[in-house]
Amino acid sequence: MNSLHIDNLSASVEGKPILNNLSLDLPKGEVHAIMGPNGSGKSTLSKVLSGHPSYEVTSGSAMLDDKEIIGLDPDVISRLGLFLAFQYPVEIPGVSIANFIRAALKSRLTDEKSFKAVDFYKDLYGKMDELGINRKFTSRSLNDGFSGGEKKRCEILQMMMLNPKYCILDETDSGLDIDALRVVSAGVNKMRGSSRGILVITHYQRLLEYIVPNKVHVMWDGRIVRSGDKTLALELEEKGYDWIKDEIAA
Amino acid sequence: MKTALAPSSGTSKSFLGANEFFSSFSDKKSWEPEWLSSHRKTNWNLYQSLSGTKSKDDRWRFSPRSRFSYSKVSRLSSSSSHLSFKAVDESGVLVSSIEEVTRDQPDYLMNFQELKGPELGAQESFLLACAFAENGFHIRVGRNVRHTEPIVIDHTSPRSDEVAFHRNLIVMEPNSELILIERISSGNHDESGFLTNLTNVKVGNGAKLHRILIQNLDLNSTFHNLENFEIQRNSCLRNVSIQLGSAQARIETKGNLLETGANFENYALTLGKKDQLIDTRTMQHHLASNGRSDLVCKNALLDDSKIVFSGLIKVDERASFSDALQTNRNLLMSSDCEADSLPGLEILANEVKCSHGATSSRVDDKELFYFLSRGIHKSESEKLIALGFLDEIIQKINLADQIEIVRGLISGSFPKN
Repeated sequence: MNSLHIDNLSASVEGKPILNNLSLDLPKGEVHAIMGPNGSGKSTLSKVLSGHPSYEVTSGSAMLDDKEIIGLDPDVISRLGLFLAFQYPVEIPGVSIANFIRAALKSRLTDEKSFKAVDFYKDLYGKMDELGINRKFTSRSLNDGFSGGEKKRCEILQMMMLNPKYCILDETDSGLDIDALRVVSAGVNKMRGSSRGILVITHYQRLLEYIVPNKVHVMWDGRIVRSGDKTLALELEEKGYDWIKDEIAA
Repeated sequence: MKTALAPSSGTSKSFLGANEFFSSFSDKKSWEPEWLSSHRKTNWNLYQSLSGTKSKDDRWRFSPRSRFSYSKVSRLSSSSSHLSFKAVDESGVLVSSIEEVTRDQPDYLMNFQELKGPELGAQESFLLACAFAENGFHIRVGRNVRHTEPIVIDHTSPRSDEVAFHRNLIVMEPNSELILIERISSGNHDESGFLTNLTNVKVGNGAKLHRILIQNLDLNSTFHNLENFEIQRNSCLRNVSIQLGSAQARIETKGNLLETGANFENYALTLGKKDQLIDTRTMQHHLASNGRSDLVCKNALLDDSKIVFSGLIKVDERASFSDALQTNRNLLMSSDCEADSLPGLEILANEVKCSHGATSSRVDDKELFYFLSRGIHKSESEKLIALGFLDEIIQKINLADQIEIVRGLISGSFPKN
């Protein structure tokens, strides 16, 4: 299989069910968007797929290509090729961006490969330039004192450097001004391609003007209740979520 | 080449307290000037008069004092190889061994008799160092001399059943500047004994001393480090203490801000591992007005390690407009490690700005998940988190090559993936 395939996934946190038999198939080469009201379980889905230990998967599976990732540790899932861009990136005092990304890349090295610092910095600086991140940031502590926009750019920088098979962007557009949104979206669009699947979680249609999805899914009460093409996002923008609620009730 | 004085039979607290032992030691030192012989004798007598371990001594609170007992060693090492440095005597800078100075100018160090220790509890070690020190260095930087090249002093511990005492004196004359790096380590051949290091520093008016001490002894060693700093008018002493090795270390650091405008910065870190005990006692003593002192002590603890931090800010009545900070942060990285903090303030002056704080916390789950979510192995993540936590102190070293060395030493303390 060449997809992130989620099948009847249910999960809870502190005994409270959040995901409810959720199914979704994200093939490589496609960008899917998940929209939904607050509390529908969008961020929980991203955490569960990333192996967050606070969430308990009660049933179902998630296959990353041909590998079951439910039950694996977060670092293992990451090295298998899943990347989560955090909604709220964590501030890490004393650890520079460069050292952090270098450690992440080194963790992926096999015995026969070596790490070349010169190549690393060339690659890093190139991608920082693309994202409009000042090169001085390489020595700054990761996310420490960054603005919301700087944090999100830094998430995309990590994503570009780690070159994952599947990416989940959890409300990457929150906290971004319009210029930053353009830059970040350009970075994501550059990552699009036949070897990668991207799942964009967002509240707003605005992001999807820049990152045009192949499919849009609506999440409600822990499951996907409706899927469609990009026009579904426009419909949601126009009508809100109440009509979905009415449809479910009917 | 090592030599060692063997103990006599029938030791009291330790072989160091035996009459026969001190007599034979004194005989060996018969070449020394009268004042030094007398000084040794006086301190040895005081050591003998110590009433033994008090059952309750707040200056040893939380610290299992028996781990530091000299009864564990049976010989006094007299190896001169426990101290090495490049001698300097030019352009207003003198770097020499205490022994050499004493031989060449017998009365030059007479003021040794007046020098005090930090007096924060390890009186036994102070007296023994005064009585038995055979090694040590002396640095004097002349008036207005700015020595830009760091001076490096290497101390090594003696063998496992031996003790060595080092006694050092640094004198910074007015408006002089110096960077000093002291490395405390073990050699390759069972060098895991006791090392007691007593240092007195005088920083003259307007002088600046930047001292970095990196202790990376064998994990079976015992380290007693006593330092007493006298900081004069508008002078500045920055002390950066990196404690990584030894089975147990007792660190006593006292900064005396003697005159107006004195500035004392004391930055310390510990990475505790296995069953290490690092016991740190400090005092920032403001004796004059307009002094500034800043202490930050950060400790990251692994395994069964334990740290004790006891710090006192003392502001005398005449030391108005003092500005004193004291911060102790502990990162507990295992379920079995322990951190005990005793911050303290004793303020007798009005118009002062003083604050202190101590916190202990475990590795933040969100922080760890963020590292793991990038594929970084758990042990590597914890290493990076510890390095990040300690980085505030590491950066105070302010010398790129030494920063890299310290980061490497800390990294090497964590298990490989």
